[in-house]
Amino acid sequence: MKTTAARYIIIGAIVLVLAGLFGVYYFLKHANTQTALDSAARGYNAPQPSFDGSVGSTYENEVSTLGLTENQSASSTQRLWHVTVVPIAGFGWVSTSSPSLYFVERSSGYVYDANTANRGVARLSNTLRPQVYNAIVSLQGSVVEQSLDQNGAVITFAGSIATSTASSTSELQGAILSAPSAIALDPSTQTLFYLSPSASGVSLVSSAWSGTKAKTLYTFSLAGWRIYAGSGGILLSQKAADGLDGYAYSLQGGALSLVAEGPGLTVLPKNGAWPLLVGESDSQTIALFYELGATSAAQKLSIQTVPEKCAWMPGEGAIAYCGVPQIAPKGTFLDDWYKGLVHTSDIIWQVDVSIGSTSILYSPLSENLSLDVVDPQVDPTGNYLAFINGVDDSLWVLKLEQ
Amino acid sequence: MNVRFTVAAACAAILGFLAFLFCTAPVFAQTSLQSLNVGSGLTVSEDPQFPGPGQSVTLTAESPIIDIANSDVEWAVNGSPAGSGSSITIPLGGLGTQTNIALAVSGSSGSDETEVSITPTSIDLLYEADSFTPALYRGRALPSSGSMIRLMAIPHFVQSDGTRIPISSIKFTWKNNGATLSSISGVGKNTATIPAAILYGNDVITVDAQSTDGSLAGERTVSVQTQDPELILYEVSPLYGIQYERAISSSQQAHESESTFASVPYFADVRNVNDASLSYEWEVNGTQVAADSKDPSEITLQASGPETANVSLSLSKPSDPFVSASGTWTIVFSNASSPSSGSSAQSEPSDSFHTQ
Repeated sequence: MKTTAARYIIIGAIVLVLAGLFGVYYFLKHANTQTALDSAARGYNAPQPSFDGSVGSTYENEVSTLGLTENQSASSTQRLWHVTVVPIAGFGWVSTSSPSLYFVERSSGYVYDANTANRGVARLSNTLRPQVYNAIVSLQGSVVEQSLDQNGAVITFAGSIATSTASSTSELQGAILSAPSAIALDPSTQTLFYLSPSASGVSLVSSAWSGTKAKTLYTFSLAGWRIYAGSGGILLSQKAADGLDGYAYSLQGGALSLVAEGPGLTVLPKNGAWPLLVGESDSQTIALFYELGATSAAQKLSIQTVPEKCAWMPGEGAIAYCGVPQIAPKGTFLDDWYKGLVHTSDIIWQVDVSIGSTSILYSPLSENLSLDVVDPQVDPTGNYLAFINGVDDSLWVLKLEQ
Repeated sequence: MNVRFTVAAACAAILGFLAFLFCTAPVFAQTSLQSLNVGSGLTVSEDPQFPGPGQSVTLTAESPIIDIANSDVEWAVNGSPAGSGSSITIPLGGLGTQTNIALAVSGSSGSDETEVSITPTSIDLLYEADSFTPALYRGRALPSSGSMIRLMAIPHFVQSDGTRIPISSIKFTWKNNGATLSSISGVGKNTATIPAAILYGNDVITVDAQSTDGSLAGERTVSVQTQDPELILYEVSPLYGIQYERAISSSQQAHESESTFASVPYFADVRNVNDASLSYEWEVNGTQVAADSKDPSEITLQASGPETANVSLSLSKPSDPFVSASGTWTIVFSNASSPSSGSSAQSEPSDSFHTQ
């Protein structure tokens, strides 16, 4: 009898112990889950920065603070690639067999290579240049980076990525140029064109990428110009303001030849010459025109956008791709857009200026995306359109053919 | 007898001289390229006075002696009949294309002929101000009180043989609101710098240009409006610097518990934002906050929790009472320490902000 009672007591104790253990297990499991959620909420579950990753720890840190992981973007689709979620200073297509997109990270000045084939991103340079506001990349992969000093003056660095190195990233070797603001490059010759202060205003200077062989081409008493250069020539456009007359000139034989004139004038030449997209803003509405040649009259296009949202297709044709605001901008759009006061939600249009036709190519809105297209560029093979989203300065690539 | 002969000879000489003048005057008029005819005062007026390339110009026959309205008036352009009547409108060619116009008037009040030639010119008149804009700003610097307006005239004077007249062979006359600016006018002086009108003033600036040989001339006028500086607020990121691409709207959410904001005085008459001549007066939720002596254009706000900061800023320049600008912004601090929350929790305005 006693033996039977002892058995029951032992069995009961075992059941109680098991129940207790189960309770403890359940409690700890729930607590761990909650702790993990709390940690995630605080950003503690971000992947540990790796110093040997393809993009480097700085990029990973920035991305993780945005709640994403390397190469991850919930916004990417089959046709549209959100290359970076962090702000960039500029980008450029590099002439390789497989279109490669070099971009400069705004926070560090590091140069990255975005591969459109496998959507991989790899860091190329390890020279730190903090807070780069503007960057240009040549077809050969050379880079111009513009940052600001403590007084807000522009520091312009032009360099190339060193090639002979054992590590995966290399030094950006180059020189500081005396370029206060406007700068452009002729991709066909790797020649830089920039404005440099002079006794009577500013001088338009051409130089090699290293800053050597500097040559003054023209001197202006006005400082506010934008430069466009290419195999077709050099074109200068006075900085625009809504409703105020602006002028654009081609520089030929040391003389200025008027190319376009109009209120709020902005232009986009192909290879520094014609065909030419011309934008006007009269403080009420904006309009886009095209000119096929020096002697042909400007023709109005049916789309309302600014040339800074357009890119020419490389090659012989006269095809351009433009980000066109879904809602036609009104009033002082140009001034407000330049100041970052307004942004647009654009649809990508194809424009064939040889016949003046326009057609919709792709609508990010169909994927619930709102993108403010800025300074787009088509790759040398004509398959991809890269652009900056003006809202957050992130980089995007659109595959032109479905 | 001698006296009579002398008087008769004198009369004959005078009559002969007058007859010579009468007969040869039309010949002079026909060979002259000037529109002024000395004999009858027959002239051709042009509207516009300085037509540009491809423009249409209206030509009108005028004479103080001949009754044009009751005369037969015939026009010819480049040797071909172009119409009749006291005025005609004709299209002009491009730069360097000379158009020759012949005018013949005949009637009971007199007859005369004249010729004029028109070569269209154009002048581009560009301007900007030396006012402040961020170094990489894409737009144009506009004039505000105290700033200077820089002007540049680019003449397109092409002669009929296709050669351009260089700027060094052109005399420029600058005028501001009708008053000639002699000190900055002269041969080769195609640039000018003048002070902007104060407050909301408007300057009407004209440049007259004429080749030193008098063959070509042109004129261009531009109206330049002075405006107030414009204060725009941007967030300053420790990583990215001033986020010029995204201005702070009148009401905006801050995602960090501590944020620094930079005000940019677009078009103010200064060289940089922290120019010593500028005075920044910051207020947060009605409480005045002393501007940072080193960086007065920036303010740093710290919020201990979900709070709202009503930020106002007044900009002035003690040395110039006409310089002023102001702005107000509402910045809502959500609970930034928990990024997953993504809440837009708002609270009543609080005075618990810390500024740096």
